[in-house]
Amino acid sequence: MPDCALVHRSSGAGLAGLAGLLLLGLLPGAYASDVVAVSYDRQIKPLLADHCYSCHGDKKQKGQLRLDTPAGIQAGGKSGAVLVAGHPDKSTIYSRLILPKDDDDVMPAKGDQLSSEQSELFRQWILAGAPFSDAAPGVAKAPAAGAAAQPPGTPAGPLAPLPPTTIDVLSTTLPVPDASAVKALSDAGGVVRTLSKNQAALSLDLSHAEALDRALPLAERLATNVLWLDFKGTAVTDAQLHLLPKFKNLQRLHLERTAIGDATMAQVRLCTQLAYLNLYATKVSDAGLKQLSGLKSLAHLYVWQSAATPAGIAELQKALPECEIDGAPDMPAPPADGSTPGAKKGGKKGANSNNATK
Amino acid sequence: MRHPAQRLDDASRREFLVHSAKAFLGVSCMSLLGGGLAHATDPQAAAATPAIRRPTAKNCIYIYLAGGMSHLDTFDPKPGAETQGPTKAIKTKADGIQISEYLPKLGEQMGHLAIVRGMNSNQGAHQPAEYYMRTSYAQRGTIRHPAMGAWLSYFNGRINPTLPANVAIGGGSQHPGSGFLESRFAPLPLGNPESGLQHSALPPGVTEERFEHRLALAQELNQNFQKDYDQKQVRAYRDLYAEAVKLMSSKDLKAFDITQEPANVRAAYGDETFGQGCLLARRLIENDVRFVEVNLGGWDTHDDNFDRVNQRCELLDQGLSALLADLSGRGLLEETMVAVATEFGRSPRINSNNGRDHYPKAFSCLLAGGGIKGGQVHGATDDTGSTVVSGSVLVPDFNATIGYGLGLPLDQVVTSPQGRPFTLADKGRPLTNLF
Repeated sequence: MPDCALVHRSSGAGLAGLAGLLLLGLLPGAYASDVVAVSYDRQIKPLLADHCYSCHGDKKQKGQLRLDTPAGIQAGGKSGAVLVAGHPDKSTIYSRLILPKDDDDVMPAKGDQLSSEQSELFRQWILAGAPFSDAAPGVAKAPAAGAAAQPPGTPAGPLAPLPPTTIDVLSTTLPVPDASAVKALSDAGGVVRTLSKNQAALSLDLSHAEALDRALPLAERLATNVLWLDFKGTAVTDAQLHLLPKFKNLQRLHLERTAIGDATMAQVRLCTQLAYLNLYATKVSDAGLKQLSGLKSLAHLYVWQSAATPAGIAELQKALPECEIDGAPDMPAPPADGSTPGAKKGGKKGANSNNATK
Repeated sequence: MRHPAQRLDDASRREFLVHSAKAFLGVSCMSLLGGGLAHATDPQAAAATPAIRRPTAKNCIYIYLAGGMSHLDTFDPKPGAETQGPTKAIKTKADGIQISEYLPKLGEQMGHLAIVRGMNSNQGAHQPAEYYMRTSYAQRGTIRHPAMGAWLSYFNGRINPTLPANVAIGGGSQHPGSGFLESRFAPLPLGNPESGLQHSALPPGVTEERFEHRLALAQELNQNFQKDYDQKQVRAYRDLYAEAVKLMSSKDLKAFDITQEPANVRAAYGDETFGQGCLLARRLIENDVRFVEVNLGGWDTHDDNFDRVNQRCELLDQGLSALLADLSGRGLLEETMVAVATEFGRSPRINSNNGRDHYPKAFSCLLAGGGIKGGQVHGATDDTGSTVVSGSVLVPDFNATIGYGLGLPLDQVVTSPQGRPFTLADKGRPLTNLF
């Protein structure tokens, strides 16, 4: 039954209309290769004029949006871009046409909805890159400066693709991770996550693993892929961490709240890409820190509540001047009881009426 | 009524299914970057743009100041302006950045903080404005949108297998929660941080053995029903039980117990619900809860603005500065984004009750940690704090910035059960300059 209703409404002009769309390959779900040329001047603009200009034209600009000029369409309105060339689903100029009739967001807000053939024209036009001139179809240009009536500094245009990360760049040199090891590690309570688009760079969190003795040999099979490794709060021992140097691409290592001591620092020293090392609440002492003095890659080291002394920290800082070493933080002093100026006076109702601006 | 555009769009449905499988089935080898952002860029473009460090944040602490914090009396003071009233500005640890005298301890932590002074919104009533701040969408009768914690747990899942991914401490019942996403992504609400997680121990007189027996019995009774009605909702109910039981016996349950913290640490956070909530947030983040929200209300200062803001600020100053210091000392701030949000600012004009009224046209929010460069200000208001004159940030932009730091796919369209398309921060654009 729902299907009947669907056909009825979607076709607008009945079954014949639907068949027509099918023949033209215009049904939604068709891909970009099926795109037929839709003209802005001949097909889109008249529709905009009929249905949109009364609120988004030269007289009114609801939502700070004008649809009567290409510049206005490209500039978008108060809530951002309305047109993302090539992406009908991201272009509200299309997506709000096809909402259910009772939806608060549906456009046009007044008058009849566009027929599905009409809204389909919008979809096709956007898919084709939303060209404003028939002669040179192309991607809609970024809005001209000052075209938008938006608060200053509001970024305009669609979300630009984000640049690759440093890890993405590095990950192209990494082997494909051993899928069976990933699976087995996950089963053993390890949390494996990918850090790069190509899924070769991994973060491995063993802090919730059931048995490290079982997980570690599996982790070893992924050693070159693991960039971030997390043992926080586990019962990991110095003896177990003899395999650390095998993680030669390691960038971040969490050992906080473990019983790890100086012996492991001799292994950490060999992880020459390590940038972040967390030794908060460990047994590492000045002797351990000394081992790290050659680890030039280290950018952040955390030693609060470890056995290291200020003198030992100062010495390492001398060897690694670029490294940010965090000892005890400046915790704020507790609030002094009762001596909070202004807090108690006049806070009660009743005093307010006398407090009118002078 | 659904339009055939949504109904027949195979490509997006397939994407949705793949994505759901990842999120719902807890497939743990999944992209921290998310599929949406991982568009294959062509190599030439890739070479032209410098690589960036991302994702920068793993977890998030979201501090919500309900009622609308006066920007003039906190993070955007205008010394000398007629609109300023009696509040003085003080210098901070960061060169050239002044904040209100009510926040001296946060002044010391300014090296961690980025102040977003260009905030502006079009919502001037509490409930819709709060909803907008949490979801990036205007409130509608026909749909409920997910809040950030739900998005994070939907896209990224949990790391700690027994603790929930999303927790909210304090706050009202108006929270949009998981919106149209499954209710499992909604925050676990905690009332009082002191009492931790309630009802997580066995009732007196019930032994472990007896409890197991009862569970087994319940399972047996449910078996036929679950077999006959093997549906999502039924399975969700069963999973909820299983997870609760798992949590009850978890060693991580102690993460909820702030009484295990040394007295001096508890004192540093301030002996108030908000401060202790911040401390609980730190404990939970330390145990890989992904998103913790801490609420501090009482900012609706229509009368007696200056004394009342001062009082609120004392709590905020103590709790937040302790949180930032503590997180940074433990090496957690680098991976934890701390966001401070409020629904709107307050009017520069001081009203006849010595108060300030709702003012969405200009206000301030904060970001810290998780890759955010501290000691900076984004955007500015005019000399009276009335209008944003540079660096305008709309609410969706602010939320997109949090999502960006967490490595979530900002442009991935997620379809509601009714077939309507939504994204994590509507059309917000991240403030990449803050990282």
